[in-house]
Amino acid sequence: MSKKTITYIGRTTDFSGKTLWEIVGNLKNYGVGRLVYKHKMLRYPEPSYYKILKVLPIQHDGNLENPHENFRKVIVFVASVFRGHMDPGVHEIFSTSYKPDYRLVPKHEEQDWIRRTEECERKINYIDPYIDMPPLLKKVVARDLELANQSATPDKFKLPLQVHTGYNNTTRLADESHPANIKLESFFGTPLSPELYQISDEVRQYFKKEETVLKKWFGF
Amino acid sequence: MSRELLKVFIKGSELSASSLPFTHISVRYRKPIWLPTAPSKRFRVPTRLVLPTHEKRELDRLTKNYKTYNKAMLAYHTDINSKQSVTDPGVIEAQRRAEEEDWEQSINLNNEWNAEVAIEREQRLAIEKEQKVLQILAQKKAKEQKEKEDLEKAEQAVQAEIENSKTFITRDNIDHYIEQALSSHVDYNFAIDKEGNVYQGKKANPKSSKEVTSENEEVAAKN
Repeated sequence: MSKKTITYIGRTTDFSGKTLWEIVGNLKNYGVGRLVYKHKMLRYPEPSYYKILKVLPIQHDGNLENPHENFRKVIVFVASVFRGHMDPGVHEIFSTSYKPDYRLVPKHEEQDWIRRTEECERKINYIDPYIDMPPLLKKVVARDLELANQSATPDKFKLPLQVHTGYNNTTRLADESHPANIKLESFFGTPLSPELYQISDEVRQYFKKEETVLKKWFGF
Repeated sequence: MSRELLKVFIKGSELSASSLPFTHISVRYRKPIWLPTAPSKRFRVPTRLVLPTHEKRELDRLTKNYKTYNKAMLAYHTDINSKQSVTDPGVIEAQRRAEEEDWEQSINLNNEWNAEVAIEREQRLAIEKEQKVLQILAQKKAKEQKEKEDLEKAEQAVQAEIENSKTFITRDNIDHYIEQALSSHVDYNFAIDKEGNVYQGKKANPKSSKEVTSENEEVAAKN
């Protein structure tokens, strides 16, 4: 008799780890004071993790016959560190606690994580608080100003920018004391990957061929 | 699919000159969220999209740029719309002024109408007064006439009574009348024969009776 293996069919995830209850439920005092991190956050060079402050276990709500499909949730109050910066508030993890993406930081590594956090330098970017209007809106505003007999000064064609002021946003609106070092450009802006906008010879040749066909058929 | 399921979603702000209409009309059929997965799509496993790093980085930048831009535009239009809304102090002031003007205009119009009506009323009251005077005079005259007539009637009644009083039985002539009543004997008995002749008196002789009357004669006399 051959060995039985479970073959999963369906959508896949990038999760790698355990659910929060699987970690916390097996620790002494529910792991209060320990550090956990999400595997997803390893994408950032700076450390991002949670320090467990308080745990409230709750009943398993779901189909117990399929524990792999219905993970148990748990309420955990944490201090959140995101990209080397700790939020002064207390965060509650509940709705995402079922995701099997959490990992426990071993005790001998905790000091290392804290050291890495202290080493992080938080660079704040200051963005120009105004952006140019899109062309159509510019025309509409110009028409409205003309109808209202007002002068069309350049500051009337500027849109004030809306920027989140959360703890994990490193971008702030520039003011007099903080000059802007970045500016949001309209349309495509400056590409991060300019090679994507370069047309290869192959493609150029193909479209040239198309051009000749079009000229032959339609005369332009 | 049936046309009933085809829904047209229209959402956005009011149409105005100063704010662009954010109207989105979708005419493509979409499965409503409450309908189950189509049987043909039940066991379909969509392939995961894996983008190259440089492409993802560029797409992320563009998306972020686009979203930030969109947010700024939406905030701009929200600001304009809120200025036109009823809670804006400028709008409230304008409404108050408009109400005051309307009130003043209404008062003036009302005063004009009141003046017009007053003239009409005076004329009407003057006419009514004349009519009333005439009416009262007529009533007075009629009353006098009636009183006069009543007095005459009373006079006549009194005269008639005076006339009647001559035949009254008084203390002086009561004996005379008593005697007269006692002396005058009336016999109400009568008899009738086959021919209808009436014979007065109970014991009277029919042949010598002077009061013989024939019924036929009476009938003839009546006719």
